[in-house]
Amino acid sequence: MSVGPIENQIRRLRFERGEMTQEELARHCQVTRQTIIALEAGRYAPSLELAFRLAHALGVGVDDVFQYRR
Amino acid sequence: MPVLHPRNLPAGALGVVALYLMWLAPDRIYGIDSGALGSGILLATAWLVIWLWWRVRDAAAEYASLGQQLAALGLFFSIAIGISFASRLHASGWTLDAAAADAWKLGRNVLLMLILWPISAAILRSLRRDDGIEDERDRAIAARASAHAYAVLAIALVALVVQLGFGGVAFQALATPFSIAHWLIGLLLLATVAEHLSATLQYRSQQP
Repeated sequence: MSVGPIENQIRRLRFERGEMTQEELARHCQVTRQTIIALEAGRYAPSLELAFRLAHALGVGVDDVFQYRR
Repeated sequence: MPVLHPRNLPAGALGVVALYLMWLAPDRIYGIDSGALGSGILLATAWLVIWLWWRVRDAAAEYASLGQQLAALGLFFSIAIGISFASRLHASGWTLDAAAADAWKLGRNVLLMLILWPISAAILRSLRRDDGIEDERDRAIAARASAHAYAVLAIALVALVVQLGFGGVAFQALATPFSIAHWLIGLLLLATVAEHLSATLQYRSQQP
């Protein structure tokens, strides 16, 4: 899913990390579940800090979660 | 959890009746002050809505974040106050006398809703205390909504100033200090509606 040129793999990575729920990921990242839903749907581009928190929670690097497509 | 769910219809109907009594009904119905009756029904409706929210709080939490719920609540109350304000001003020919009964009715209706609004918001926050965090998305939406409200306020204020300057003798005759004070409060209400409308639309646009 993408916001403009930014795509993310959050949904795929959640399922690869033992089917982590949106609620669990939200709690790890200290955001609301609706923010995770908006991110996965490509409707919201996170701040750099949240991008790092998401990557940390999913146990991967930021560039594994977010890709910039020109 | 859509707002137009059958379970919400009784509360919606009661709210419409209450607002009708407060804004549009004759001053007295069967000897009863319709404004006071409307205020009482609105108060009862607010409690009913809060109780319904409490019953479905888990489903509500699935559907909307606390920020989105507060934005929707703010939109409802700011529109209700705005309509109450505009309808009373319209009924009195866009000018008010400090001693007139209309001014006191307007003050009572607006005051009631200004009290109900923060109480409803506080109850909503307490219902969501376990997961009721406001995150960076809420803050970004609030910042954009404030910017939109500021733009609306600036445009409306310039329009009022132009009207005061070039509106002619007929308009200037209406512009007593008390009326101008109410028009300025009306502009603040307009900006508040714009802020909550912007926030609500932004939340809607980010939902899948």
